[in-house]
Amino acid sequence: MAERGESSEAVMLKKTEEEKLRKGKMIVGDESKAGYEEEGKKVKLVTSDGVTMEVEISIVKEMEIIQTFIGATDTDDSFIFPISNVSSHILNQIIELVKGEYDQELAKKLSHDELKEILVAANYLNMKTLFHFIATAIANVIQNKSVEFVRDFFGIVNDFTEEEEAELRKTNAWAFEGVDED
Amino acid sequence: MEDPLLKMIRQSLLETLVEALDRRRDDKIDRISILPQSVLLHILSLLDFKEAAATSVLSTSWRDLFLQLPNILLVFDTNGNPSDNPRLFHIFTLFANRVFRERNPEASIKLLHVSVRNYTKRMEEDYRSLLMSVAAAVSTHKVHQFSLDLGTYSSSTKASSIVLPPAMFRSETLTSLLLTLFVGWDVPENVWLPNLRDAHFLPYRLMHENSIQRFLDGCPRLEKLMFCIRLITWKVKTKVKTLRMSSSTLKVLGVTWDLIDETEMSIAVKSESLESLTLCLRGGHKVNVDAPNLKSFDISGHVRELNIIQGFPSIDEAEIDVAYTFQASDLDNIYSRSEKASTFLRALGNVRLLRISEPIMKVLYLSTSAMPTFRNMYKIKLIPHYCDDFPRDRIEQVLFDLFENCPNLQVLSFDKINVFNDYNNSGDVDFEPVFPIRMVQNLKKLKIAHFKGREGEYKLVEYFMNNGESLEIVSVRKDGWKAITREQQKRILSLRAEKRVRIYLGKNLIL
Repeated sequence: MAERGESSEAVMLKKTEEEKLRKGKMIVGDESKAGYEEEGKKVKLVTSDGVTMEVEISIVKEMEIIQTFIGATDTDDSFIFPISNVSSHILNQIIELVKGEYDQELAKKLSHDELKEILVAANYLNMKTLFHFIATAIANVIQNKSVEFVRDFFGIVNDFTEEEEAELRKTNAWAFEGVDED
Repeated sequence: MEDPLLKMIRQSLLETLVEALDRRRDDKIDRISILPQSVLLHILSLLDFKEAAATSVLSTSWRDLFLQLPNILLVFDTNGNPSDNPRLFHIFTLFANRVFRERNPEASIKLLHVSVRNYTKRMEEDYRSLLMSVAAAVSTHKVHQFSLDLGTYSSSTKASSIVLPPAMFRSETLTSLLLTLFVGWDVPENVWLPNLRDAHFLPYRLMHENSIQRFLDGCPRLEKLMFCIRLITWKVKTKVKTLRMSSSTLKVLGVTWDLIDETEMSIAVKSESLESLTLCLRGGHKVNVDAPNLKSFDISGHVRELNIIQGFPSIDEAEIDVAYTFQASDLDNIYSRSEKASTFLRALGNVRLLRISEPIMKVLYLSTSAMPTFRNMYKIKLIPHYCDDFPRDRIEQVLFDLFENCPNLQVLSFDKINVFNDYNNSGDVDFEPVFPIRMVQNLKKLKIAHFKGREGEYKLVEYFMNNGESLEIVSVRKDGWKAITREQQKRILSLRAEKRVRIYLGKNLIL
């Protein structure tokens, strides 16, 4: 499966290159118009819960995984990209964050589950700025928090025996100095 | 017998159902736990190293995750009760040792930063243990940048110097080294840092005459070296008065020798590839520079003598803020220094950009040699210090000579215009003895920084406006954020004689 995916991606990439060449010839002498046309363009994305959403090209451009395909096809309105790992709720949140130019105040309004879902989505869609932004937001949340808080945040099951954990806390004692147990 | 079509439909329905269930389960399961380690490491890298280390007790899969972080920052800087420091430092050292022991030595460490403040005598044993394990890490792990900061070590202990483990100076991978040690230390024998590109020792106490050369010899690719010899503690005493440095790779060298233990100190620099040299000296140094490819030379403070061995044919810019009169024994001594200062100036013959202050002009005034011609000189900036203890007309004569020998000068810049303080209160301002009329006529740009709105400053602008036939730009700025007042703007604008001259006031205002 993975192999097939890769090869089709390779074909797409090749097509992209050809397309660029072709388009490059086309827009010679009229670059301003080409840029203008692209402005209001939208791309249809189908989310994991089956919702089809029209997303502005400027936002889609940050999704490197989709960007790979955009040049490869004449993105007429009929073309639809499935993003099976991202729900419509999360996609809406992502659009808000990108439009809000990554304001940390916006991140503060997100629930812990939303933060995590967005991180997973950013990783999947290969959105580098969003990924770093959300990772920073998560780091801010778990900073100076107790081990229990962080376990709860990430949904981690503690699989240490009591003895193992005690031993680890002893050798890493420095790391637990001055941490609030909240 | 089942209908094949029915079977197919049922199969398809089942698959859809399974898929839907899968998806639901996927949503419920915390997907963060199936994130690639690189993603989790990215989050950890945004935390303090200490906090990242605390994640090791989350679960077995997190146990050693933080050990993969490329940057290791071990900072001991507690604000709590000082009497608790020895206990805390003990667990700090245990932790540091665990990190080095359990980290995969094949995975490179981008940055290793170790900082210890709040040292007390009772921490000594752990301190040595820490230094040993840090040194072992530098030499056996693939460390690229290493920074060691032992803040206030000496203030609370009798020890005036420490011995750094020699392993700290043996690494195949190290490219950058920063030592911030407020304590005497010496470069060990057998330094071997074949990939080191830059080193900073701030501050540094020169323990032996050949310490620095020993370091250079062990760093065959070193391009940048900066160190600052200054007072660390009164307890550290050395009698070193000579510093010789020779390297075939060094491109940038900065030396501050801000300490007078001895008289008649000397510095010798020899490097074929040296492009930039900065010397800040206090005390009477004799300086020999043999760097035929030098592009930039800055010297400030005092010298007895400054010898340029092969000249500076490629010199592009220079800053001369140096006095030659320090510890002069008698008048003959002053005269001999003035000839040497003049010779030094000739070595700068190709310079394009010169920043110069007045102290050197005292000896240049006495020199019997003619001012050299600076054919390439494009810009001169007059910088502090200014000499109040020397007759003004003599300084002016040197300036006049300098300007007259820069036939292609286009930019004249003043950094704090104290030079013409004398004119503050007198109505009679005569700039002709300072600025040759031919130079004024050719000048394209006049810049004044740190404008104070004094009478002399307006007069200066007026003089260049009235006589500057080629003048295109006059730029006047105050200190940092301060703005020129409306009154001052008006006054400056009223001085404009030709419309073509553009006036820049402050950051954005162009008139």
